[in-house]
Amino acid sequence: MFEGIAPALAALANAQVIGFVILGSIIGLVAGILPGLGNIQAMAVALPFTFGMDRLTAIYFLSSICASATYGGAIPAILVNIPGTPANAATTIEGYPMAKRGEGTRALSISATASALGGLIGIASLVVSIPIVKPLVLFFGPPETFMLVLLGMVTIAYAVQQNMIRGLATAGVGVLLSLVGFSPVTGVFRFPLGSSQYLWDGIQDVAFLTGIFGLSEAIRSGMDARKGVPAAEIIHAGFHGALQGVKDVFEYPWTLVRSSVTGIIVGIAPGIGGSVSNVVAYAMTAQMSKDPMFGKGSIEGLIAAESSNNATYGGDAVPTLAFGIPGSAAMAVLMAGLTLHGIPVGPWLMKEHMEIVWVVVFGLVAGTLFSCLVGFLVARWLARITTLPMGLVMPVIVMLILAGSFAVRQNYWDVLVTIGSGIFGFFLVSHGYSLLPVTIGFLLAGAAELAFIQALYISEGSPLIFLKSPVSLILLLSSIAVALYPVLKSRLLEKERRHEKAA
Amino acid sequence: MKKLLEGATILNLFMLVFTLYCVILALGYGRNSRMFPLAIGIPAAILLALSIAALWKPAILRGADVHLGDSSAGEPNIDEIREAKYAPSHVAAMIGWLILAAVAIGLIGFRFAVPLFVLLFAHFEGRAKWLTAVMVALFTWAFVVGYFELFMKFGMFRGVLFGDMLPLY
Repeated sequence: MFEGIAPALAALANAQVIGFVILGSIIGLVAGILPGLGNIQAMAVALPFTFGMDRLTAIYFLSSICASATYGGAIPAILVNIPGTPANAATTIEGYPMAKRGEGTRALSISATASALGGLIGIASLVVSIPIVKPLVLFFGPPETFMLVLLGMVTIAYAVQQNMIRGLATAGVGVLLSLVGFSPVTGVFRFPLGSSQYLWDGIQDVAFLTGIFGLSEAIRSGMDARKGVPAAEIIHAGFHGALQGVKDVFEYPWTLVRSSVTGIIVGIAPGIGGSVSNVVAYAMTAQMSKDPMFGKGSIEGLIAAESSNNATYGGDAVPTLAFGIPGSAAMAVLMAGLTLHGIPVGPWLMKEHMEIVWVVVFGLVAGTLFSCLVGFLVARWLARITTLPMGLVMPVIVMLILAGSFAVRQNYWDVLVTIGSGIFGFFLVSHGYSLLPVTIGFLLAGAAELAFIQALYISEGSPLIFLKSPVSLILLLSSIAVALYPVLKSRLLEKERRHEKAA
Repeated sequence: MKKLLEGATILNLFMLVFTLYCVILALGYGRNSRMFPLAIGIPAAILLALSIAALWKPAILRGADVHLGDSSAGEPNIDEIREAKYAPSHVAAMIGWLILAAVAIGLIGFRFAVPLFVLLFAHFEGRAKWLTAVMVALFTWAFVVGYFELFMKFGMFRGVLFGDMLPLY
């Protein structure tokens, strides 16, 4: 379990790495504070910038961005009543009323402490899961790997899309987009889209992901180009009450632990992240709490919201690192970062590259602690970032994305692919589609096809190989169950309704 | 006819056409090369066709609706919220800005396109004052050139007007 920990720690002792961890935390904080941006967009923009770094530095950098945005999002949620990220939606309900009655610093302090502790509990769950999950990955040969990818795609289509059919359809489109180009598995140049040279290497991960996550959000921000929060709307907070906020968190240890565990469980489920966990944990606390201030500035509610959303990252990282199935969109970008630096993602990551697992663990810890500490100390000034109109921020982000996507291979067509995928992503979200199924399909297609072909080679072409192994069979049945669940549930509900009408 | 020109229909048709293109081409490949694309492409095409049909008859997809914790039951349709939020002219303008960025990078390269795009967007779309727009443009230019060209030693695209050739497509 502890192999690989030494190189990961040794890298963290390097001044350059520490510098990038600090920079990543600041980038994550600022992205979290700016409404409309979050860790996914910040990581997507930063992804090409890691190209010249060594791989451990790059993963430290991306992990620290990933961990720091959620606390950043709590700052405008408390001081401006605007959640910086979707994962801070419940924070506004309790944080802003506290700030309005003059307890802004206390709320920021509660939020920083609960975020840090929740984040650490989540990361601890990741560490605890390593010795449990690591032996499991040894059971994964080609048929099991293919079925695992299938289950991952079906689960994500179920979890993030309002409709199963639309989710699966877009995941299929993502897979096909990934198959464009020369196939190293079969040696054929497939689906050339009129290209004679450029698409030989396929659609590039970085160009596609920075476009679909980063640029699509930038287009949406551009729609609100003239909007910014008037400075007068930001509630002033001093330092009075900071220590009380830290003490408050320790007065509700069960709320902290229960909400963090909720965050971890939600995180482990592929595809859903902090935006769901903070609402679920908050709703659970609302049902159990006897606090008369609940909904009007309750300390307990704030702890629940902020500990759960930060604990989610630890849970998100479990399926990502153990099986190569991203626990959230941010983890999908992190996976792309691993691929960009030549690190194979999938069940074999824990077998062959334990140092990467530890780098992610330490990167998340460092990002969480740094962002909560620094974020809290300068929150009152950082909140002013929300006054920046998106009309100034959007063109900067667009140009950073386009320059970054060009720099990876220094090919002008990558710029056009980024713009194309950004527009595609914008229209997908505009019409109620989640970006995750198409992205997961795109990222996992290569591994899925390799496993599919290898399995059929082993069985000399017989598809029965997918049913012979018990693990593969269980995964297949689980995929079918997840895919059919909404249909069966809808039939049952209809039947119940008919019975009620008849009664 | 009106429905055919709606954004949701065009998006779904675009995805369906791409999927069918892959399926048809895959049929001509060897056994190993076509198996996986067909295994994914054919079901995806059917599901996309259902999605398009559901734009006229929403009941087709209702059975596959996912209500996690039943929280979304009774909420307004996301399509309606988003489509109402963004006027088509505004969406077209935003895409126009991106096309302008791509053309500018192609013609005059990153060194000139970066400050020009930031300056024009910040002033005309963001309604920033000229001085503010110039400062933001210069900062972005310094960062892009400083990081990629000076620090990373990457040769950024200089544009066809300054002697760089577009790579073969």
